[in-house]
Amino acid sequence: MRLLKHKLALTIALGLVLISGGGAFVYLGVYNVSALEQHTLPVYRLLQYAMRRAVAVRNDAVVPPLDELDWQGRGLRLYEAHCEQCHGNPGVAPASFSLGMVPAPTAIQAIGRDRSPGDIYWVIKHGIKMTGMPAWDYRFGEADIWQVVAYIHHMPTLTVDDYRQLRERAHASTPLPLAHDTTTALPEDRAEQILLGRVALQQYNCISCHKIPGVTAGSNHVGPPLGGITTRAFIAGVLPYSEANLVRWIRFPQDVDPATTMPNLGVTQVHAQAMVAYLQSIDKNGD
Amino acid sequence: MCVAATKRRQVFSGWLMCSAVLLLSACSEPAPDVEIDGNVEQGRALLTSAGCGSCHEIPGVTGAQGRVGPPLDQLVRRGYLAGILPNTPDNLVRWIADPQAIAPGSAMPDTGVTRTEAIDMAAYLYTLD
Repeated sequence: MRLLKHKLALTIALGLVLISGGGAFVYLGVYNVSALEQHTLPVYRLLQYAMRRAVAVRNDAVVPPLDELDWQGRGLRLYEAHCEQCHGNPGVAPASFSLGMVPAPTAIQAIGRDRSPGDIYWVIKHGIKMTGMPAWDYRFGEADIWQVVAYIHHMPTLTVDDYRQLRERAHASTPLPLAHDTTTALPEDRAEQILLGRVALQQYNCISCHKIPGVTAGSNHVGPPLGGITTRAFIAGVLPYSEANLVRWIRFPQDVDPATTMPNLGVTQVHAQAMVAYLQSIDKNGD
Repeated sequence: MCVAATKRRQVFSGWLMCSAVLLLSACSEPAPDVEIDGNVEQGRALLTSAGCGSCHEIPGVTGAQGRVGPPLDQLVRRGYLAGILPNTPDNLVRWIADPQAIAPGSAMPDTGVTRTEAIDMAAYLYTLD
């Protein structure tokens, strides 16, 4: 009995030490977040491994025949327009803003060689938290993501000369602007609309200015809080509330009020409608 | 034996509180400091008498449940007023005193408060964090 008591006391004491140690570690800012100071090797390896495992267990996409996609045209152009700034191309440096990021965006040839198409597809679609890799799901349709995957998958065998020739041909055959294949239509199911809207509010960075109930990181106060907005008489003090008006405000705030600091974020019609659905849902439950 | 037990309990609860504070300090960011020389109580009374509650939800002001304009809770943390003016004491006073001059056509009407009254009202509003 005495021994058990001692063991229990020891376990509790150990637990308490760990908790307070953890608290001190956080409060004292022990781990430096400066991008000038590299991770220790064990931490770096752990993070990389954890990331790859998290992707691997969720990766269940069926890979289409990549050779049949227009990777030399549309794939190349999409990659050049949206990915090259961080990941570069043969003989082409990434944009200066992306240099020195931690973690650094992997050179695209290494990605094409080392990662499976399914993994590449998942990472493009979902992005990766705590890195500079955004999610592209809300900006590209499935077909376009696979075009980019096809490009990445094929490009490791290109020399600089090969790449330059391909690029010239692609520029001649596939001009910009490219129509993004955002085949997303507003889901019929209300619950799906609400989920689409909730993620859209985060994907368009609404959370960086607005406090939004139910959206993590939606606790900023640049603009007014969005809780209750669908129950208020006016939007932004100028537009009488209606669903259509809220969609209009979300999509084109500067058209409604040229003086507003709210910028035009390029929200699509479908995504704006979904956002309204989400905001309505929290107002029904909340107040 | 009893004295030692009490001491241990005190040390333990002290430590527990410290750890809790350490961990919880991650949870709430303090509101920004604002300097404004107005009468907070007078401001609260004015917010009632000027009818602000008919359009705005305002904590601490009886009956202020309006949903025409945005809620005024945590106003001190807000970056912009009416989406146009950076949130500074001067700007908030200006806005309260003469919204139509700043945003013509806004649903917020001129309430006829004087500048001094607007300062008091702003002082109260800045206590809402």
